[in-house]
Amino acid sequence: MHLTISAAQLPDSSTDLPQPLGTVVADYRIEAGTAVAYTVEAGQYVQIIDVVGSQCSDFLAFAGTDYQQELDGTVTRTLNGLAMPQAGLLGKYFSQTMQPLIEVIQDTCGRHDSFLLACAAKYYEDAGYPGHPSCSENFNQVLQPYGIAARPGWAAINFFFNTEVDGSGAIVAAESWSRPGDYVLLQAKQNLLCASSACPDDIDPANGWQPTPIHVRIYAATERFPQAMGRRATATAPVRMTQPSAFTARIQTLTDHLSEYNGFWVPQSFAYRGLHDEYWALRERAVLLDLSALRKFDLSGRDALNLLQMAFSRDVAKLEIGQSAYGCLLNPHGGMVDDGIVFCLGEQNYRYVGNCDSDADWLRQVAAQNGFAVEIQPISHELHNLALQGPLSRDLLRPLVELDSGYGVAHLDQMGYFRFATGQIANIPVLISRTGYTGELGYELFVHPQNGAALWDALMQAGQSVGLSPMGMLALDRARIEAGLLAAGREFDDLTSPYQAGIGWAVALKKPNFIGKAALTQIKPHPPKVAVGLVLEGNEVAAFGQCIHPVDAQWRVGTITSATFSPVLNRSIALAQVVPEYAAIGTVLEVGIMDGIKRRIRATVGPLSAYDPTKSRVKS
Amino acid sequence: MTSLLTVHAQHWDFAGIDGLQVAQNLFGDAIGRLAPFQSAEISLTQGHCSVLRLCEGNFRVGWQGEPEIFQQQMAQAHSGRRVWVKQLPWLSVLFLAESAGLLCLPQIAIPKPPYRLQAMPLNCAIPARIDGMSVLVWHHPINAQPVFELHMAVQHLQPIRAVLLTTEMGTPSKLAGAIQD
Repeated sequence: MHLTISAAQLPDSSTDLPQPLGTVVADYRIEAGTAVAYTVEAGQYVQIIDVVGSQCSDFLAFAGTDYQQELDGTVTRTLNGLAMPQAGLLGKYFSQTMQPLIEVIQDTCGRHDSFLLACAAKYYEDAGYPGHPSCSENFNQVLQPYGIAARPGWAAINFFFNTEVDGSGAIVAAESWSRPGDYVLLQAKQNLLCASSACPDDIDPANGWQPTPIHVRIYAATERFPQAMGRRATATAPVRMTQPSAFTARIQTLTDHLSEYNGFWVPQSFAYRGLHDEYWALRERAVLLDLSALRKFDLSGRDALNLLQMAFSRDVAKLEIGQSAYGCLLNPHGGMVDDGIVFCLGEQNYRYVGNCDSDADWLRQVAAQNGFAVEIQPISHELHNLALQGPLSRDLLRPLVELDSGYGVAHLDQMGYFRFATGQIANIPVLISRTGYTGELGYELFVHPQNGAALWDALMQAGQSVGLSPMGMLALDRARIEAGLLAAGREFDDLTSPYQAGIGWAVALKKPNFIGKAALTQIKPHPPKVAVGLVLEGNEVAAFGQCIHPVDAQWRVGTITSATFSPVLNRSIALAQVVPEYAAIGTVLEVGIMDGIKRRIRATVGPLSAYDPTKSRVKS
Repeated sequence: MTSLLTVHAQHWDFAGIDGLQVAQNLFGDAIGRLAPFQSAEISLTQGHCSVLRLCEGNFRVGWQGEPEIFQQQMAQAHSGRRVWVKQLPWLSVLFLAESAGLLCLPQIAIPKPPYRLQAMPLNCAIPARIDGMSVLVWHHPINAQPVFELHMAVQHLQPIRAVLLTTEMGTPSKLAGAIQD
């Protein structure tokens, strides 16, 4: 039986292209199963568009008068320390002589291959398809007019090709992640000869079994496109491109070391300061950091409280106006959907600050299932936030702050831990919350983005007297591990209960009903693992995923979730999750580093928070 | 070329799992506060050290004093510790007066992103390239005078010296539109 899917069933590839990003100087339509060669001048942009979706497009680039420089995937991986370049600091593709040829500016797919050849005749021959068209042979044909010798297989960059190296070392391939209109935008760093394919592979899932066209647009070098990675929060959500926060422009005057994090450009460390400097500024003075990547949602209406009582782990009914509580959103099996803070703004008005855009979808789903009358409004675009943290943060803030009435706090000194108020800092409207993620006294300052730069300037100016330093994510990660604070994807995910993650104290089991209560009631007496802190012997630092064993035993009792060298303790420390039988304070365990058996490091179980376990500093 | 200085210093590198602890034994706990590519000036018994941290457990020391003295102190500090201590035979050093460095380096040195050369404070270093040759640019005081100390491969000593000389004479050799890696 012969089945044909007609072209009419596929989206119209001539009209379904995304809008041009700028002035197009050339267009190339690469029909399914073919390739084209084209030239690009230094500074021009190349947009490679997957027209229909699930279609791979292999890519070659050559520079030099005789095309002697060619894009080299191995050099590129090595110099970037990444399997694939990403928009930002580590975005360049290099030649075999380590010269940058082209740079990723935008990428809405995020999944490509740099390990494998462009598909070659041999692949098809070995699979029983002698004579099948291949990208490599197509490249040979289109490059021949340029005097470039044919090869049996081209070491290309295979855009939209979904490959992965699995735990056994096998390189596995599957259907492309790309959707209709997904694209990669590159900028040429030199004059280039490029070749792009629309892969003809129809014998495996790489192209969804149905090769389709690729479209290439060339944009003028005079264009200026922002660097961005595209992410989708949910299956139906539109692509969200990496954004600057209200503070990014100021931050970029102080560092070029920014990375994409949760949809924002965030600083990793600051020029001429660095991780250690910023860390000590936090522990001894005060630091300012941009945490705008947090997501904010306002919940209002008659059932706002009921919704939070159902979805959030804490007993929100106990909160007064001006009080907040840390906890987590739960799923029915007791897993942590997200962690975050609920702010009580009024009897029917609450704010949830967490990590995920998808939190709103989950809250709406819970509200609908329970018939709650509540409006859930994402407001992340209206509120960006700085964290001012460190023992001198209150001294710095005190003369700048005026608090509004209505929150039970007249002066900053009266603002207790997990209390907040609206007010003004240097005449800029803000919400000031005495919370943080560092283990130090500190405040989180929420501001409308239009006032972000002014707030940054006011704080940096006022902070000079106390040695205020900007702080990046590298120092923040070290501080939060010392303080035993959780990170999504490390200490928890939606398969991890709060009891395993170390925040069982944040579950109000006495609430009459909430999502996950039945499961958590069962889990609480004997969770499969519990969170502990470890202090390692010696100075080696453990790593995420490394296994933990009883002394001299082969079998595992847990894994490392985060690890660092603690400057203030001068010890190698880790957060770990171990079976309850080995979680008692003082228990000596072993961390298997490298392959887990070549060397084991003794480690002693301690409190989750190695630094200030009584939280005296944050409560001071 | 008058801007090139003569400094009598030997350079020692040490690195390893216990590199920070050896540095702390030698120079005090405060050395742990340096970030990579930051440095400190420290006086030891019978000599002076310029200490540059290169990584978590990697340090480079410019020692002004008798070599045997430093070797003795290092031997005591790293006894039983998992570090190596070496003088790197393939590394060469140029000292440049600060005024000359401020004039020449912005014209000829391309810092590796995200490092910056402009407004480079004292006690900091950055990796960079001059005419494609790798150089570590280190801004710190020697004998209380700020200098730029340039570390490069031995085979690049003369070419980089020549570039500096050419640049100081007013003909910068940095290629227009040179590509930043």
